[in-house]
Amino acid sequence: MTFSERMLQIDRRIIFLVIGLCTLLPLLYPVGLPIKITSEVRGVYDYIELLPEHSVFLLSIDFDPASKPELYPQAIAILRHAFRKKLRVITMTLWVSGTGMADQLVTQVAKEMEKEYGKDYVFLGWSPGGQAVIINMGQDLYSAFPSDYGGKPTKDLPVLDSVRNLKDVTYMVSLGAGKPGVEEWYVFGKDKYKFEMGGGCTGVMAPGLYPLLRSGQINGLIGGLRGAAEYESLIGQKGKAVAGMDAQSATHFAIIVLVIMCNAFYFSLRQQRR
Amino acid sequence: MILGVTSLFHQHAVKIKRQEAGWGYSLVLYGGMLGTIAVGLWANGKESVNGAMTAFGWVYNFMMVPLQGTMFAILAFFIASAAYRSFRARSREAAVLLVAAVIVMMGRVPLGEYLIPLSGDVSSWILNVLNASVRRAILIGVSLGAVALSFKIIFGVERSYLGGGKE
Repeated sequence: MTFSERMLQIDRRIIFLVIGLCTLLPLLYPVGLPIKITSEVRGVYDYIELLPEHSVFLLSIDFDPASKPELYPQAIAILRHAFRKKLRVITMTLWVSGTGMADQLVTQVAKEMEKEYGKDYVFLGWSPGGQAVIINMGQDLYSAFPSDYGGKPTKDLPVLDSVRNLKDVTYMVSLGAGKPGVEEWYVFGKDKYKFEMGGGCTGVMAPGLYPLLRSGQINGLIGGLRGAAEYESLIGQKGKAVAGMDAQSATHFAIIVLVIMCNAFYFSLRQQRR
Repeated sequence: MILGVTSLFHQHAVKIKRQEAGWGYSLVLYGGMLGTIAVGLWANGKESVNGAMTAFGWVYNFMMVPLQGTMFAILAFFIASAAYRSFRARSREAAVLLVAAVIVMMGRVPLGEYLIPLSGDVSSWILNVLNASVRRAILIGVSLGAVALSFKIIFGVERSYLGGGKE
């Protein structure tokens, strides 16, 4: 067996070890390389930045714990920004398995920003139906969510004052890890009820949402951990996403090196066989 | 949901009864599912009541959250291994895909932009122009196909979904 053949059949545990080290070491010894802000993320940030105080901002946390490492930092950064701008924040989820996580997330950021439940923000929780919930909210928010996550009647909440349906929402962001997510919010929500919206998604989903972004159907897109890191940099509060960028840099480079190596061995083997 | 739960219980009950390979995992599934249903009903589906975590909340926070996170995290290891074994420039098309992937991977991380400053812009161009246009073309193609198939079903031209062979 030649060297190239042996290298092409390398034990996968060695690759696992390389990836493990590339993730762990930068987390222990961060480098902190500068993060360039893309126009996709700036689109969401600029729109929120320009909203007047007490505008109605809807954040749909459409993911479950599987996508927590990428989308949780996005949600934290957006909520911090919205609370800082003194917007009326309505939060909810279309994913039943993400309800508990979403509740913790909203409560944690609101506590940090000293916001009052019911007056400054509300967590509506989850309602069954997926995209049907969006249509229902578009017709009457109170029939889709007669009570909030804690069981309080939504009609009595000051934060929802003068909000009857989705037409009264000024800006909406869906942080989605699949279906229902950004696409459903556009098709069944924005297109019908004419509010402006942005999106956030996992890194693997981002390329699939670029047609929506380029046609102006969404005004910004926060893609994966990188997008979250950009948003953290924009609001000036660096968190888990910025900390994770060094690990992501290292693992991307490890994979690039592995791909180049495997191709070099592959071509060397092909030449030997000729 | 009832159909799914019934089917799952039935499938794993058969496995346990026949003591097939891996029947112990089926037992764990039974325990996990029944336990979660019981604590969920006990806590009325709430993870916390007046700030205190319920048993259901404990299951959610300390079992479901880390388990789902782990499942997603191990993908990185398998992707790296799969890329090493199969991402080869066997044809011109594969070579184009490989070069594009390397550029996008470099352009999406700070280290790539630091080493090759142009990689960020090139990666952005690939995503915004090439990727978006191809995705749009696929989307339009799939939508037209769905419309055509719908017409065929509505007008009775396409009947294979009803079962049976050709008349």
